[in-house]
Amino acid sequence: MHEVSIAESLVELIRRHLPAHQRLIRATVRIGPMHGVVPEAMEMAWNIASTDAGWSGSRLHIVSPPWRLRCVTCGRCWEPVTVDEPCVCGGTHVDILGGDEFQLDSIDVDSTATHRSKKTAKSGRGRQRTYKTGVDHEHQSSDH
Amino acid sequence: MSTKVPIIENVLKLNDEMALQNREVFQRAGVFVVDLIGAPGAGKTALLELTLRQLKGVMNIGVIVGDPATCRDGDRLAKHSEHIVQVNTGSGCHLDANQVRHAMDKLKLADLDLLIIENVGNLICPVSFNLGQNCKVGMFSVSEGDDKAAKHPNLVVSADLLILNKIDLLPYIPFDLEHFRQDVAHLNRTAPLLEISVARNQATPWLDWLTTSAMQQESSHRIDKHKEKSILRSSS
Repeated sequence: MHEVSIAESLVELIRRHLPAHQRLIRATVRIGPMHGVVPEAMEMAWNIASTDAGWSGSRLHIVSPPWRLRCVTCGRCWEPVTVDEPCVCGGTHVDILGGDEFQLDSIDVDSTATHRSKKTAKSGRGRQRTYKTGVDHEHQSSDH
Repeated sequence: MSTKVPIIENVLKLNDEMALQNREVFQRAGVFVVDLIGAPGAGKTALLELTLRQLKGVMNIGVIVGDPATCRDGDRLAKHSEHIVQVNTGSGCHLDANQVRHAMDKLKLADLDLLIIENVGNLICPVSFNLGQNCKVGMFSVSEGDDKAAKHPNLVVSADLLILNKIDLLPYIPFDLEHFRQDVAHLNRTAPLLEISVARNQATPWLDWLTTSAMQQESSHRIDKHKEKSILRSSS
């Protein structure tokens, strides 16, 4: 469940970039299969972390690029289903060209709305959490 | 009105920044740091007990050991070294750079040649979190089965050294050693794979790797110190 730590890290990273008094609508992250992030677990983690941050209603958009390998022997590049797939030439070593992505791509902000600060969001309601946030999961295909 | 703000930064950038600061502290103290990652029961603590026993008098070794609960591993290791810090992570499945920073504050780093961080037993989560180490070591064992390297590509790809422990069990457990070796080589052709048996006290390649790596760090530390002094002399 490193998704909880990842969601908390994302919140802190987004705080650095979120313009003052603007509301977060959506954060787009690009996470390859290398990092073993489970979208369903990430959804739960994001719901908690983003609601705690006062960003209730924001969405996390996860872009999942595929594995991309290059055979060291013949130079062929391909997108395997699983990373242990050998090259058709019988080569035994690969370089990983894609699948290890782990970045925050962008945030979408509502520049017309006044953002409720974390302090405001928490006051009055105690630590009660509402789960109106969510996650969009997008498997990226080779033509992206 | 919705506005897109492009960012393109590592998701764990804050952890990475702290890890970099840890790294600078380790470097200044001249201590070589290893992040040891493996599944629960792979034999990480047993390997460290052996290491502390065998290298006593050769180098000063500290250990930060992470576990969800109990001080059992810390107690075991404390029989062999005074430089042991136990970290309990609760439900946390990995150590992060901030936890290591707090733990390293309890150690006299200047007295150490080598610091080994025994991560929480887990083959997935610890791999993404940089701690400020010089080297990442991935540890597997025969009793886990021969498919574990292929199933955990992140650890295999990012490791500087890979260990297969419990090779004394090979005659008793269905484990295709050649297949395991191929899975490792498929993803990482530079990291050495050391096949050892801690239970049989057969871990010489690991001890050789550790002493060589730590000595290289020490000599580069001396060179850095020398350069530092030269710069100070030339600027004064």
